[in-house]
Order: sequence, then structure tokens, then C-alpha cells
Amino acid sequence: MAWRTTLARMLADQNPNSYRYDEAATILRQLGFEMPKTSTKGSHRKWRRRLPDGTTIVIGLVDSGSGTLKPWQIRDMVRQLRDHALIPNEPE
Amino acid sequence: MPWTHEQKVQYLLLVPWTIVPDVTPEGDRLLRVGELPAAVGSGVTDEELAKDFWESLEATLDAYVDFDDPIPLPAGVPPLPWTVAAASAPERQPSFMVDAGSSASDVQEFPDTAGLQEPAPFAVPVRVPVAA
Repeated sequence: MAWRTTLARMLADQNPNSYRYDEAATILRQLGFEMPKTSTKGSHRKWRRRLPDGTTIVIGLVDSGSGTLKPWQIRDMVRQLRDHALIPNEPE
Repeated sequence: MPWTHEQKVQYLLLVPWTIVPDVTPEGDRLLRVGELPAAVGSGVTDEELAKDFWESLEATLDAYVDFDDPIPLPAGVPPLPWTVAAASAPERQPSFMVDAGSSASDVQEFPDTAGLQEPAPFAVPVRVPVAA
């Protein structure tokens, strides 16, 4: 359950500048997101999940290999997860 | 002929998306799409920013098209032609009646073509604003 620990750290992080792509991708995968087959062009990776009400959420990350993601990418990801109440055990 | 994945993405790239420049607290310059939160480009120079933005937008549209998900379009943009054709294509039904006394030359056919014509694609491609 290391991904939950990483997510909790992300949520509280005022300066989220130390997270790698694979850490963020693992969280999204655990939360039910999937990547389209075509999402392999360039370094942009789009993770998608469809909610029961038919809404589709797409979250963008950039796979920069062993480097870290930009803080705005983590902030955007957290904002989208919060907006759609997808963070486990977090009150809406 | 059905639209291919690539044709749909190319059509969608010409939609007049709402492009919003942004600067992060760390000083990163971004271009966002108002309707598609996942479509964000970044870059130091204008050229890098524009290139990254288009790559991100294309990858985002790829995702929507790949899963055949509904795409949040800007206000005023007509429905996507492949969704209109699928929703309103009429069933094959006889469009005329022949009574016993008619010959084939008496028959006039009035096919219903409503909903079968593809709307013209957008004539003016969206331009990327150059952030100050």
C-alpha cells in the first residue's frame, strides 16, 4: 500500500517537486484510471477514468523518465482527484 | 465510410478550444485548454511552449477518441459529425408506396437525407496565442 502513503504525502505537500512519473502513475492505476493504447506519442501520458454517471476524467502527466514531475503537474492531478471525490478516505 | 481514429483527432484539433495562458508560482509558463483540464503545455521559449501544447492537446484528444468518451466541446461548437451521423442515421425503410395500378415509371422516390450530410469542418484553424 505504498501508493497510499505517497498519495497522502502528495496531498499535504506544499511544494510537490519530488515525485516521479511512475509514482503518480501507480496512484492513478490504483484509483481505477487506465491509459489508452494510443497514448504513447511523445512524453505526454493521459490517464482516463469513467465515473458511473458517465463523466470522463482525463489526467495528464509527463513521463520524463527518471526525472521528477513539475509541481504544477502534481497539483493539477490532486485538484482533479479532489474535484471528483476520488481520494480514498478524504471527506468531500 | 466511418471516421477513423486519426481523422477524428485531426478534426478535433481544429475546434476553437479556449486557450488560457498561465504562469505557475515556480515561474513555469503554461498554455491550458479551458474545456480539457488534461491538455496543458509548458515550455521556456514560445516555440517549446507551442510544440508542447499541441502534443498535449493531441494526446488528450487521443484518449477521448480511443475510449469513445464524450468530449466537452466549447460553447457554440456543433456536435461532432461522427456522433450526429450515428445518432440520427435513419433506418432503411421504403420511402414510397406502389399501388397495384402503377408501373415502375410512375414511382417517385423521395429519400430522406436529413442527418446524412457531414457539416463542413472549421475553416479557420485555432491559433496559439503567444504569451507575453
